Amino acid sequence: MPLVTTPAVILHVMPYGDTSKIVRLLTRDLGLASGIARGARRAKSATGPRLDLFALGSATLRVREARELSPLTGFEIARGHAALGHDVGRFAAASALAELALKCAPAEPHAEVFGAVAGGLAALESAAAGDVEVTALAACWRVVVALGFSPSLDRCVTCGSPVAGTAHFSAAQGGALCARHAAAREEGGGFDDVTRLVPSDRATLAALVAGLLPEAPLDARHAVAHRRLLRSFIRHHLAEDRPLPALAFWDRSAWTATSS
Amino acid sequence: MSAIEELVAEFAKLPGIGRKTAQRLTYFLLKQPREESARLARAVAALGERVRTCSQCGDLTEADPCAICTDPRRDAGLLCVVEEASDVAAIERAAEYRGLYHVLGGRLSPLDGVGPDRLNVARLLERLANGTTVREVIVATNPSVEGEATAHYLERTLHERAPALGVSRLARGLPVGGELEYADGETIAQAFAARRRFPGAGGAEGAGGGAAA
Ligand SMILES: [Zn+2]
Ligand SMILES: [Zn+2]
Repeated sequence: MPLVTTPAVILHVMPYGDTSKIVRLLTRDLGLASGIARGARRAKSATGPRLDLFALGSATLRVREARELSPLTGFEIARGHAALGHDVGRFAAASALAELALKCAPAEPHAEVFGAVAGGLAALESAAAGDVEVTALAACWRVVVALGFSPSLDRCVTCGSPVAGTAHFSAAQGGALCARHAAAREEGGGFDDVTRLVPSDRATLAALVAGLLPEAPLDARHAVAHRRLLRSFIRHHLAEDRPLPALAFWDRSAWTATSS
Repeated sequence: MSAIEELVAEFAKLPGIGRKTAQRLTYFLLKQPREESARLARAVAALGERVRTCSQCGDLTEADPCAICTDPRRDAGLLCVVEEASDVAAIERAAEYRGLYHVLGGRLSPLDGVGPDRLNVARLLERLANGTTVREVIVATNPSVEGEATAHYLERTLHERAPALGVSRLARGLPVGGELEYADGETIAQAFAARRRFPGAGGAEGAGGGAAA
């Protein structure tokens, strides 16, 4: 039973029995892992209070062959993210990011996904109040891209011809559509996954997909549209019919004040 | 399914009980006099028949409204909001707080699909509507990320719906990431005494001290 110590982010915490906690972790060296911390809910437990949502640290797990649940024997915090609970908007976005990793990340280690999730949570905590929404969108897109699902923005996903000016974006097809193929989709019906993007929307989306904050701030209406587009893209390409309640929670309400 | 298998399956649904423990409990009961297992069965049945949630505060009770809600010696100006009924029990053990309670039945947990609509929030807002006796709401959700987010959500909602109301948060005597249910009475009493107003919340200044004790 080897002991493995690895950088890890806590993505889910569940009380177990009278005194234990089961935590779901995204780790750099083991991928997604589940650990049981015995006695973690006791008042005198040293490790227990550290095992809180979104904390980044160094986890020590006793890894057992063919067992899903490994005893978690230690967790040294590098960065707690308690402040993510001090603002419902940040909390909702961090939950969506955690869910994306929990439901869509591969079980195997993936350094880029780990970096994107850990970096995204840190960025969400330190973002200026007006930047929470774009920071969250950029962080989620960074994870989506790290998972290998990069949307095509400059070329039509159907025919590959360059797309310029105002364009349509199909979440189901995974990118932009040229005028001809957008018209064909519209005639064929079932256009709900398609969003019309004027050039500034496309520039914003390109920045977010590159994991960057767009130059122009997002107003409330555009923030809603970008959340919808991201969620629809994830649903079509990554979720495989699994429910994503945290993404829905983040999307449903205007938790964050945006410049309007 | 045999009677043995059925009971094993039922035990195994309980938190912290795996299949092996469920089997051990079942065989233990089989070795006891029949009256023992009948007593256990009656106690389990009575739970479902007699215990319900208080229509006022959401605490577990056999009489509705519960003994705390109907106690004239309690200060009806103070309302302490907690996540679970077990938190009411923990605060009552500390024997410091003399106001009323409101049990949310959980905390915001988007990853588990728990939003405000799944918590006992609508009833809380009803209790705080016009004509309420409540002067101050003390948010005593756990000092975890989810408990904090729930507290901030409540503070914002109460500020919008009842701007004149004082809203305070238990002080951080409790370890961050810890749970109220597991704290000792002394720590809970101190957390009440040193509770702080949410910045921006309405109501009178100076929450701490005498009011709770
Ligand atoms: Zn085309
Ligand atoms: Zn009651």
